[in-house]
Amino acid sequence: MSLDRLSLGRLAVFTAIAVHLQLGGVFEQVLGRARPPTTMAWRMYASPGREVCEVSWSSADGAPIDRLATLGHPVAWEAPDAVKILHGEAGVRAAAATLCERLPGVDLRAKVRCGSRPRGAWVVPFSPEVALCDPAQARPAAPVRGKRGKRR
Amino acid sequence: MSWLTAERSTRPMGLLRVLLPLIAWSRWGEELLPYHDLSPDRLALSLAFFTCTTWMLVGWYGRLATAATAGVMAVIVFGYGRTWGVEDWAHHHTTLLGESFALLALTPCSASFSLDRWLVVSRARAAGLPPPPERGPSWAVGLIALQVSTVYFWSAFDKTNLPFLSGARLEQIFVELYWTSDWTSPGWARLLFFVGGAGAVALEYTLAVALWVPRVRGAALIAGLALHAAFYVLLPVGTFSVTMVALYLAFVDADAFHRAVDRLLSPSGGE
Repeated sequence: MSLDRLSLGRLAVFTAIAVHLQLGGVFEQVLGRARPPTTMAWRMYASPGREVCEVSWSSADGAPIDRLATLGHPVAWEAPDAVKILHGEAGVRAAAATLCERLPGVDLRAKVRCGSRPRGAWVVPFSPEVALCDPAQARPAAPVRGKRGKRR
Repeated sequence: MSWLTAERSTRPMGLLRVLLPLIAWSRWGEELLPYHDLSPDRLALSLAFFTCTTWMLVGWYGRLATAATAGVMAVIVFGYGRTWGVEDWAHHHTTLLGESFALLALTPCSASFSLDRWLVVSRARAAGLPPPPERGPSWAVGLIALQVSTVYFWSAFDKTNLPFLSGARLEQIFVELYWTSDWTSPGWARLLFFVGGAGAVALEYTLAVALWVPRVRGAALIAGLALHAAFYVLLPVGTFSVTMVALYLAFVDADAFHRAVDRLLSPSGGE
């Protein structure tokens, strides 16, 4: 089988572009290396919702606490994004601190799960038994470290 | 290797040549209005963008116009977007759109629905000849189809992990977009997220392959349209969905599409 020069040229262009289209995915997703600057790895929707938390607030006796209503937002979805969406353990603890100020004397607890990096698996950053208004427990615990000092 | 020399109807790519500038206007038309930035480079970019996209849409020396527009898109996406810090111009949907212009320029996209075609038909009529057929080499159409499959495959590959397949990632996205951190998802919602997460990944893998198989292509196109309609309505995907749907023209049977347009335009409806 022989190809004329025109067909050979088309085959060369087709092959070069077809390979180029795959380079971003191969480099970044398979090899874990930086992709060539003119390529894409097509890792779409990797950022939205990252590290977002779901929190169920209550007092120590189990009575639910409506955080957003307490903060003056009785219609939850009308609250500003920065208030209604909490990211990471630090975001939850900061929200807890605000609630403790608004509800003096309350023994605040929270059942929490947050998305983690890099993939987004749910993790529980602290126990529901933590008394969030107790200054001794309100600070985040030191990260648990392995033998080589890597964060687990 | 006969596909390298095969000729088919040019109407699908002609339609894509009309659609891509419209999508580009939808994405950049407002941002590139001159009053936003009067610096010389941005004024030049604005002039080039509107001139080239209009030239391409009209289809006068349409392949050259498409190549010129691809050049402008390269400056927008790879220059301003990736090199000079305009991050919004370097997203997936903008890159896909920009690359599509370059691939389209390799096809005979100006032989249909264009001023070029109108001039050819006019000259033929003036000479008392029948108009030449709307046909051209179709080898590069496969590159546009490959671009679509590439997006599906690598997007699915990236999501092939337990957090996404279990629905956790989808739930986090919906919490951020629609809910609040203070609403714990009920069991039925978690089931929906699981079905949605695993189903989207399975469908993306399937589309990457099934769109190439004539026997199942019709069903795959319908499933893909449904997927992109859901993305478009539920998530802030910009012009991604509409671009992907437009690129589906690379998968349609060009000659069947040609006959369908003939039937639509025939005064008797093809009867």
